[in-house]
Amino acid sequence: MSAPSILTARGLTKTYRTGGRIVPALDGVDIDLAAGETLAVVGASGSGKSTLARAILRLVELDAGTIHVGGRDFRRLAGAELRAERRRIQMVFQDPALALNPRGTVRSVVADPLRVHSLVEAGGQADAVAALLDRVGLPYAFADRPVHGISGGQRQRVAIARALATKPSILVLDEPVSALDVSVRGQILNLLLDLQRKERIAYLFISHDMGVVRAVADRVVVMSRGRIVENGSADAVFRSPRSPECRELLDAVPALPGR
Amino acid sequence: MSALRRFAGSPDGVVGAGLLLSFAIVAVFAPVAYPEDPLSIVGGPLVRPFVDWSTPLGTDRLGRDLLAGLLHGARTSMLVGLFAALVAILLGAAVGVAAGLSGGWIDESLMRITEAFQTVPGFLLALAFISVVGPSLPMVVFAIALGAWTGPARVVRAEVLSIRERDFVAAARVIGMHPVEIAWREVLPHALPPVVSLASVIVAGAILTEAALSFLGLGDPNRVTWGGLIAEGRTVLRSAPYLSIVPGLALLSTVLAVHLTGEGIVAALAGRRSFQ
Repeated sequence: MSAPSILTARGLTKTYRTGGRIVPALDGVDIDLAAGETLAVVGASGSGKSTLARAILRLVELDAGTIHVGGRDFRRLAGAELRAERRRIQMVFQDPALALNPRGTVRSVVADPLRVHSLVEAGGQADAVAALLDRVGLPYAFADRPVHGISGGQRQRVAIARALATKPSILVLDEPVSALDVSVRGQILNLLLDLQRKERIAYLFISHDMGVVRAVADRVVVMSRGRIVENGSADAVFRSPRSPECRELLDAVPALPGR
Repeated sequence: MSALRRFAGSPDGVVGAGLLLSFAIVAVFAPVAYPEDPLSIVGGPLVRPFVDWSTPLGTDRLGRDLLAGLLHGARTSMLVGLFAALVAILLGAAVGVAAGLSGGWIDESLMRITEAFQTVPGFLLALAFISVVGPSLPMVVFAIALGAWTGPARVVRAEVLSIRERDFVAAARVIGMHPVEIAWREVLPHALPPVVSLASVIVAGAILTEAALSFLGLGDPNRVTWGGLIAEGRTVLRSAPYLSIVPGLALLSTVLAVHLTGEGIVAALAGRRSFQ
């Protein structure tokens, strides 16, 4: 028996109607995530993995299914109660240039969740922002920079700091490094691994890049056309993939010397 | 900074802003140059321009100074133009954001109301409104805004529909921000730039509508307005055409200046958009 699940999703179903055609984005997907582990959700584009991420965060309304976050039925929450519970589960988006308010500063972005949930006393904000920036490896001198005036990797660090601000137990990471320069991908992945080791945050890690998944995942689920086609520990999936979809994704990883 | 430089690089904008600035200075300093009531009688009736230098542009049928009226009229025109546009944009932006963010039946009903207002010509609407509530400056402002808010409402709604799908709005929802705060802080500032370029058209239209209302005698009776001066001169159009022509030219050049300034602003904003 594995550790108790802090995120349990059952039978998630979502269909999109585009021009008379009915496209199933999610077709009865089950997800279990234990505290402190990394579950990678992999799949080609259009497999439904991003819809899954957004559905779990209630950014996309589902047709059917249940989501329990920390034991509470997340789909039944609404209004102020939902906003308060959102503290437990935060998200890092694919492209930090799109996910940060382009008119904001580093300080305004990182302080928003602190203010929304009244997490700091009046006057304690600067210290809290400094602590958050420090956790993602940014100096406090960055606080008053506009978000359009920093690099892509620094922006993603700011986005991670924002996600950490509410002390969530779950982070949904939707392709968190695929929009970044290859040279900073490793730094961001190491930062995420470091944070998990220190703070036992569970990651739901959405990716199509098996090279990245190999570096971070404890367990892997493979999605194709809205369904889970393979599910297992990272070791097992990488050693002996069973589904053709998974083998296809693995074949897409360039073979690096020395691996 | 660079937006300012792009504005300076557009000849339309520079000429328009220069004209507008000089009109604004005239409007601000009118009471200094002519402290007495511009409606008071200062000389003989129908003195021609450039004859008596105490009334450089001549006098009307009652011997009132045309230049004093012109300068004080600039105040009314610009005040009404600016405030009517401001009210129209605020009202339109509120309706547009509410419709775009709510969706569903709220969106549907707000848009049907907007269309209902659009089918009535703005000037008729203002005319009907003023004839019911009576002419006073705030009511004139409101009456003009009543016919002008639909443009900004539709533009803002269209912008909001695209902005609300962007990731930083999703991120604001994820951190648990209240929908009203999302609308105000995350969505509205990004929906406004296209309205700014619409603003010049609204200001120019408002100045013309105010002149038309005054021409029909529905302006604030205690204020000199350009429309009122033109109407006053109309009765003696054959013998003293300057009484209508001079305020008419002032009106023409103000509206032109507003339009040119708008062109400059559009150029400055367009440069920034393509840069992004």
